[in-house]
Amino acid sequence: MTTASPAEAPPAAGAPREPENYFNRDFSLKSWLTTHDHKRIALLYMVAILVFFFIGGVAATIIRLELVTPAGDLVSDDTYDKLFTAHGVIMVWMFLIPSIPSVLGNFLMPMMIGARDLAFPRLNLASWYVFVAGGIFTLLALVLGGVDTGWTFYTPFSTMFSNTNVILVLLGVFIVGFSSIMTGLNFIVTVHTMRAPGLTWFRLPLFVWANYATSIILVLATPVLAMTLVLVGLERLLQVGIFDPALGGDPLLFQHLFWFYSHPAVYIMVLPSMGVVSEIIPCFARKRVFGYRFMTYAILGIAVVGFLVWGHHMFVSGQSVYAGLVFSLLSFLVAIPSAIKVFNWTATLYKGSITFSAPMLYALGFVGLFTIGGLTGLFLASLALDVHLTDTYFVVAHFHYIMVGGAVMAYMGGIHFWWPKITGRMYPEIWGRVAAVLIFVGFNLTFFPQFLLGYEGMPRRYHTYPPQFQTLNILSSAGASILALGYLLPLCYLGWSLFRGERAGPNPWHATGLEWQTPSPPPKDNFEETPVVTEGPYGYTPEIAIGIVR
Amino acid sequence: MRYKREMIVWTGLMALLAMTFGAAWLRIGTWNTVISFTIAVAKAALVMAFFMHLPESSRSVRIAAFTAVFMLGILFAISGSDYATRRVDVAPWQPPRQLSPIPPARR
Amino acid sequence: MSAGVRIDAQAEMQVAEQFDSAVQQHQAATFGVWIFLATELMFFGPLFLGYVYGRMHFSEAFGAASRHTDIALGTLNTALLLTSSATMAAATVARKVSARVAVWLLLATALLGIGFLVVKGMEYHKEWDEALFPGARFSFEAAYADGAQMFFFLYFALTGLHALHLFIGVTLTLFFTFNLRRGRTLFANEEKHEILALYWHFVDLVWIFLYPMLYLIQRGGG
Repeated sequence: MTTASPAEAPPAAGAPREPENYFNRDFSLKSWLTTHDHKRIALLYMVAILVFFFIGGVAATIIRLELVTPAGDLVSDDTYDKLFTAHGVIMVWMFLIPSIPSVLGNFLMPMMIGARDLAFPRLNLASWYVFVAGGIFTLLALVLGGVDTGWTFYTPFSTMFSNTNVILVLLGVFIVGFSSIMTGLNFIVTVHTMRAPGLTWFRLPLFVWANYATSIILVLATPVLAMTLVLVGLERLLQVGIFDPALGGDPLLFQHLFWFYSHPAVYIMVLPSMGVVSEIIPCFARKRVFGYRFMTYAILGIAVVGFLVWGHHMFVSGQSVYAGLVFSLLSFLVAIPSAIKVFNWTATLYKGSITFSAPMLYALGFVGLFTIGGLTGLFLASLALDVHLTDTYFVVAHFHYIMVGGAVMAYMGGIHFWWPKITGRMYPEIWGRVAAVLIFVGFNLTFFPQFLLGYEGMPRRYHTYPPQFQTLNILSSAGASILALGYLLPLCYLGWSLFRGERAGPNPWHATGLEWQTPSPPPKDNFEETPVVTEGPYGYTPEIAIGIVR
Repeated sequence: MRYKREMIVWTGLMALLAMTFGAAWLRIGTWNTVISFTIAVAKAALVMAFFMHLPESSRSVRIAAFTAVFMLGILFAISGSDYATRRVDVAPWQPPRQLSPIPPARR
Repeated sequence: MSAGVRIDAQAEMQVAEQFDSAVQQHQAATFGVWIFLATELMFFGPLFLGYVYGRMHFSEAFGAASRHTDIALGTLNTALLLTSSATMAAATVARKVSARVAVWLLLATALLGIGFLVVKGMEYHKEWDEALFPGARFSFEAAYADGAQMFFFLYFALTGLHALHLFIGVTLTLFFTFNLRRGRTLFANEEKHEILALYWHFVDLVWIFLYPMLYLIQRGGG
């Protein structure tokens, strides 16, 4: 029985029937909603986060429209607070954190290690339901009445003075957090126990390493966030005073607990994107990754050191200067493994046979924009500079360079790279490149002016600003419109490709990796028989890139 | 006797419980905390070693157990460094100024 | 409990389709539950940090507040829970040879857990009556009121969260006992028994630390 589902067009009369794969074996809604197949769950996640992305984008659109003029004439200041809160909460927890792990990770991790599925398929499905339930709940709270605390819920405003739907949003994010924990647990156990014969740790693709390290952060940090949100909620209800200085509490206690999760959270968002880039660049440079071992150590180093730097969000909040010194030093240290990765990607490109396919454009964009984001992070890690730059648009630009210029572009690159594997169709390459360039241009036009604005002192989270900042703000909003167009384009041509795209073979990019050894789309159990691995990853030869990309 | 191990460990746990209960009544300042925490660690070690079979478990399991405790340690240690070195300049408590409500103009 | 319990050997060894072997499945299950326990420990983490903060900031008030907890009931509860860990551990040993004895030991474990919850309920009732529940109703000697309220906030949060976990553990254990008794070992096989036991011991571990943290601060006086 066929009901509403992302169905493919039925094959033309007389055309050869498609072999059975994970997608076409059953089109019923029930089979999708009760699936244990990691590939279907990945698609379920993809649709869910797409919806949330566009809602978060609507909030951003209104924000950028408001900021075109110095006066607060589009929305009131309270509404503006609710808008940037909604934008932050949705984009962080309902888009970025699940994006690469729950979509690409879910789809590819078992395939990359030669397994039939993750270790706990039912837990995987449960994680999606928890995500959607929590996401809808959060969305309702954000939209029906809204919350004005910022995605960071700082006390004592959130506990004592805000009279918006704080507790509801806390509950929603609490629920969504458990989805992350489930996914992380699943990935860790899978990578430890289900690798194919011969697939030793140091033969794993970097995408697997990246998601593995991300999963460690997910399981260790997210529970701390969960309890912290509970504490804020309880404090709102009972007014006990844990975060209230008048009763002997400490608002910074909240900040320590919140950032203990939220700093590693940014590595949850960026590490998987580094994994994607590490898959794309060798493929389209036809060269193995430079310094594979150091790349793995760098991934683990980022995950570990990333847990030690949270106080750099608290330099001016009243934290001890000596603790600030320690955090500042550690924050500089965490830049080292990131830099190693950038150097190694660059070295991979050197003397490679480069094709500027759409995924490669996204990956190259990532390397450049992540570098800028990372370098500006060093500015913010310096105590003296941070005194001037904190809570200005410099910070906003910094993290958007990493999150959007970095993580989102890598997600787009990954979606394009593995699109043939996931759907069995090729997307139209020209449009892919156009969108990539549009996104790159739009992104830089949106966020580079914000570095200048922040440097000149424009504070964040205000809906009005002094008139001398208007020119740069107009540039930024104009860039945002181009960026929006850039994001809408793939929605159109990727959707089109599902019906009219050229059918893809098992390995249209001539890439290495176990996932490319199966048909596109893959059968339900991924492999006819469990592969046996005899060599390391990225066995690329510098063949001429004719015919790889039309 | 099949349950010899469990019974010995149980006896040990009860003995430690009696010790910690007894020691709590002594007036020895900070040492109370040190003693009660040490006894708690000892009880935990017995449970983890003999009931949860941690020493016989795989290396991954032992690393997982250690990592969680270690991460808590990091949270306590570095946050603690803030509290330990913070300079508190006590100022008279001022209640926040109550602003007048925002007129419900444009939304 | 008259007749013996028959174990369905098939159900004991069922291997889920994503795994290549029972050994792999067992490794994955054990590792998975330990990671879950790690997340649970991190979940309690902020409450522990709050406690450390409060203990350092309000040392006298915490002591005064701790002396208002019922040490007799708290110690009894600790004894009950430690014993339940022993019976649960014994049950996993028994499982290998006699499912009937395992059923008895599991039932004992569950009953000890229920006993703990009943005692906890009695304590909460007493503390509610003494106006020690934080919030509008809270009342304590003025000099220590702020710190004492924070203590009791943490006390109710920590023991409440612990009790919730114990309740889940008791429910699972009873469910397990029931299935094992009926020979329906699909839900009560050895592997799941080990997982349940690990969870139970974790709940015990948390209490092992909560007891001195909450009941034994400055018992001998300030």
